[in-house]
Amino acid sequence: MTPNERSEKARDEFLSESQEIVEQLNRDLLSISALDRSSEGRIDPDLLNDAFRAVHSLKGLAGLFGVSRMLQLSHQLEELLDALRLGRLQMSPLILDLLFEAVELYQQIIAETGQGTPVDAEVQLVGHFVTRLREAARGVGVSSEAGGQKAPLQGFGEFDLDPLLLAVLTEYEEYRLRENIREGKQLYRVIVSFPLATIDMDLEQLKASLKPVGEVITYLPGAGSADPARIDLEVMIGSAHSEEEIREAVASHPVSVQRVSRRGAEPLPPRTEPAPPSRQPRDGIDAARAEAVEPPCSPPPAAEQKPAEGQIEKDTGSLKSVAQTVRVDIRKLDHLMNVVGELVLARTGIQAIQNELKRDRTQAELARALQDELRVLSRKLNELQAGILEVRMVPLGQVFDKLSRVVRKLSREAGKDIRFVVSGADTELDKLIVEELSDPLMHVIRNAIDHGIEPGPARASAGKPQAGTVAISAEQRGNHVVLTVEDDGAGIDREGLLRRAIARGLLTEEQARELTPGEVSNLVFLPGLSTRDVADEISGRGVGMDVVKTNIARLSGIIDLDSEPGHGTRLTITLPITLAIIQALVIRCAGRTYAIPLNSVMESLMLSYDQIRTIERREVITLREQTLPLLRLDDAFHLRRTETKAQPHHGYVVVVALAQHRLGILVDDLLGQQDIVIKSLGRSLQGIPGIAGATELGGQQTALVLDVRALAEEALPKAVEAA
Amino acid sequence: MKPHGAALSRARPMRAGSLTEAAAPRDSGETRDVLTFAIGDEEYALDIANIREIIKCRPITEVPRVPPFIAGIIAVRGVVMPVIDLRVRLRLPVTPIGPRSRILVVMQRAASAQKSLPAEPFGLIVDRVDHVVQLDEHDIEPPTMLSGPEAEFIAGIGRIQRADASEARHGSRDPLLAHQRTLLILLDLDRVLSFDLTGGAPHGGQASRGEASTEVLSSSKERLLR
Repeated sequence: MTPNERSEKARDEFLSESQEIVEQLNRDLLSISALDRSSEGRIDPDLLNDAFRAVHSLKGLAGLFGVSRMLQLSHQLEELLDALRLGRLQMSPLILDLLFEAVELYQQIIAETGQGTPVDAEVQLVGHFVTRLREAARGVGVSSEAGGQKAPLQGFGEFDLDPLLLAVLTEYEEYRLRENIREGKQLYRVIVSFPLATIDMDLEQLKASLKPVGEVITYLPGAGSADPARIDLEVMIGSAHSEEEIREAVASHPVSVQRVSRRGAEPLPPRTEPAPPSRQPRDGIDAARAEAVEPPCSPPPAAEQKPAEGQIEKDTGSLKSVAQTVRVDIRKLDHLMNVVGELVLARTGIQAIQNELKRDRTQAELARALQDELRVLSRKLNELQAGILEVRMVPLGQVFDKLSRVVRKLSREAGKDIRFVVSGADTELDKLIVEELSDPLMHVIRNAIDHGIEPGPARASAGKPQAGTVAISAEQRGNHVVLTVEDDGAGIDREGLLRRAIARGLLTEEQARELTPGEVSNLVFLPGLSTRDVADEISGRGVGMDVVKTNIARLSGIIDLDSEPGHGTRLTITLPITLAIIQALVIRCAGRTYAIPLNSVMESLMLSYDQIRTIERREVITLREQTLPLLRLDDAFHLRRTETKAQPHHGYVVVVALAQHRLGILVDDLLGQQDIVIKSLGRSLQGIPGIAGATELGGQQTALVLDVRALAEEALPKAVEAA
Repeated sequence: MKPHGAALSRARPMRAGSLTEAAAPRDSGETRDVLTFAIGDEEYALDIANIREIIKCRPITEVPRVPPFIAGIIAVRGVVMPVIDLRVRLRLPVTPIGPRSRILVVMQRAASAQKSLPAEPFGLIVDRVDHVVQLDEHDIEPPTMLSGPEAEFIAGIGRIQRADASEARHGSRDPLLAHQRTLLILLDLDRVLSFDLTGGAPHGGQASRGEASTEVLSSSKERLLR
């Protein structure tokens, strides 16, 4: 690797890692915001702490990669969040807005770092923002760094707490302990023994089990464990539940639960541990965790000398992830996919040799053996292919999280109260598709909020709840994922849409009369047709729906719109789960080979050319008493025929569907079905109408993959475009 | 096989004139390695850094609705790339692809594309690949002296001054040396590779597609069939 490549790799690593953390931060903030809206107004301390950790990790990353703007932002943000989690500052809508704004800034910084073009204006923006953060934090009156002077260890009620334990609490832990006592919670000790090897995972699971019944305030390793491969932990929780309930919650773990007694109230229960928890083993556990990275030779005293840092490290130990995952550049997966494709071709070659061998009687034995091996190879290749495809799948939740933020922002800008309902966030799609989806979905949501949901008074007079609802859901159906975006707004103004379409000459009045209500609604997908008469500031001039349609079509998706005046609009997007491998019908026309994606093919049939009729200068056939318009592929592509016979007498019709419309593509021959890997033709050949990509067929042969939708749009009358 | 002798005897007069100038003082400044190749009776060159590999001609899949100089696409080890027929691109007379024809796989440099995007491969059909020559920067002249149809794609004219003697000693039967042709046309790769699909060949209506371009397209294709 050249230094250049190395730095590029490091940059990619930085980008993906920070992106991930920012997304996590966004999720935390969204949960906080949801709680904030609910009546109780009590924010889960864990969420705040998680947000704090996320920012702390970002700060570390930014420092490591020298992204100073991010460092600056993270530093100030960290102080603000620290003040929040320590209760020095109360969460307010204003602060929440600031935090969301920070997420956006992070996104910008990451995007720009990715492009390698820091913009001066951005640098200033960060500067301004940091100033605002500082002002917000100043409201507390206490410099958040200062907190320093630890209050004397009092005020823990009559709880029988080990002073040694209290001495090692971090400021945050101590604060949470006080809060729990103040709220009248009972304190419990949960004592557990975990194998060292799996402690990270075990601890996470235990915490998850404890979460519903109480708050984990701190956990410390016990001093002595009989087994050197195991470690004893004492987890302190604050809870309003009874000891019995807590036992039940953690029943699946090998733990014992003790109530921390109140001094003087009851006699001290005998402690199971021989020694009090101490600082030493605590460092031990960190060392054990870090073992993989460096030998645990760092002397514990060193850590003791700078307790503040040590504590933060422990506190934010999240830089080492608990989950067993690896981040991979999607291009590497593309490459692997290519390799698999080539292996498949190589197998076809071997198959041909084996066929040859079979014919030679003397080699029959060998041929059979080869056949067996080939079968194994094929099976494994299929597994490999499926495996790589699976790796590329990511949950749609990634996009939904971004959308929640957009909804928040837009609803504030539009002055509308919006309830955003998400379901099916764990539905998985190819990473590439998920990435490409976020823009179109954002447009759709934006339209729903700006144009769909009515202003408050209008809703009230229509008898609808004050808050408008925008719901997005995803669901897998076979090899497709169906996304639905619904709003309970005013629905599409069909009359207005028709008027504008006619005014712009997109439709004649006559044509307009023939359209079904559904077809009218689908006119919004025509370029330049907005449903509002006046372009407003927020969503501009109805940019969007045609772009949305184009983007979705590029992903081989189908978009459908259903609107009921007064009740709302529903948009349905159907997408293939993966773009990488599709089933295709391989055909020949004028001596060339093409592949047609099978998901758009309804049927194919042989046709004698004398069955073709002409209606309005358009070639059609009658299929099951319905008129089917035809498209001659050789004409559409200006293919010159080399055969001596200029035109064959019969050919095949491949019937493809485009929403409710059908088109017959006239070809010379059908070669059969095949699994193909669609590849891009590259930037310079992008956007050739009618061509979706290319694929390899073996023997150095490539074939073009037809873009059925584009061909149909060319061949069918204008109004169909909206379908 | 292409009739080399015949082609070479048609050396342009302008060429002969510039040959005499070639006696200019040689300077040893910066040098660069270029790959030389032939299209018709001209000797062309591209910086070796631009060339990823040289492959034999293979079936090229024709792509509809593109300018005629795009011969089609090929896949090299799983990567699909457009193939440009340099003959058509340089507006030279079209001849069939011969046994010595090769496809140069070149990378479109990041400078011409958007910076954040990775470089993309292209194939270039040439009639024959010759060899790698070291060229002195001082021996490269601006392309002002050429006004042929290919002029817009030319970055400069290079003279080969060294190597002649040593290669002659080795009895090289290189046509370059045998015929004392010492001029190289350095191609401007960025220009060769930048084109606009819609501008290059209007598509959309059957009528708008000129008969002429269809003609070139089909002759280019016939080259492949032969």
